[in-house]
Amino acid sequence: MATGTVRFWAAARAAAGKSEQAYDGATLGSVVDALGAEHGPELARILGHCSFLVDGARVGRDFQLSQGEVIEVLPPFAGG
Amino acid sequence: MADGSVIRLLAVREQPLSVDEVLAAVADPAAGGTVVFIGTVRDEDSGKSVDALGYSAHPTVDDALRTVAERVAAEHPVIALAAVHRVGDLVVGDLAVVVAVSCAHRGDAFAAARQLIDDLKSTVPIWKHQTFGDGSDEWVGLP
Repeated sequence: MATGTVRFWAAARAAAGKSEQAYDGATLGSVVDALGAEHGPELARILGHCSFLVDGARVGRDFQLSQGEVIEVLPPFAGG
Repeated sequence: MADGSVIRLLAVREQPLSVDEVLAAVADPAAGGTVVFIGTVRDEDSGKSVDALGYSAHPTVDDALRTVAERVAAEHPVIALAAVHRVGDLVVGDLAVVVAVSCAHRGDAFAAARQLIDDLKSTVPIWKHQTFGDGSDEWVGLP
């Protein structure tokens, strides 16, 4: 298990009601699932469409978290 | 910003955008065709009237925009390109994005400008939040 910080952006921030919080988990997927369970169906729905950065690199659900990493939750981009 | 290469101007900023600034950035004696795309805030989306629109960006937005610009410059015979995107609170009619590409010939300029705006929209970390006249709101791009 590792602990670190989750940073929410845009729609995910609005649904979570905060810009960041602490996490405790072994993989990205387990942390994402826990966030959905904690914050309810709207954030869970949004998380299903997000991409994730860990310390700045895009990673998938199987990614093994290390102590002190920052997870960023990025909803779909919509520039222009 | 400008670095002496074909990438003449890249910016994400809160101030109102200027088409003249972007066109001036891609002016070049070797250019025979310049294509500019201007994205503006529309008064309607999905059948509902749009009251206000807010753009926000991730801190890596500048790097992502440069990556898009470098790919366009590598894949097309571009003489000069520029792209600026606005963030913050916009109203109907405001310019949200302006991109321009100049090439020797128009066909290349159209193709390169198309890729520049399409890749910008799909890969640059910018988000759009719309508020409608009926009081509802939505984050664009979320199914």
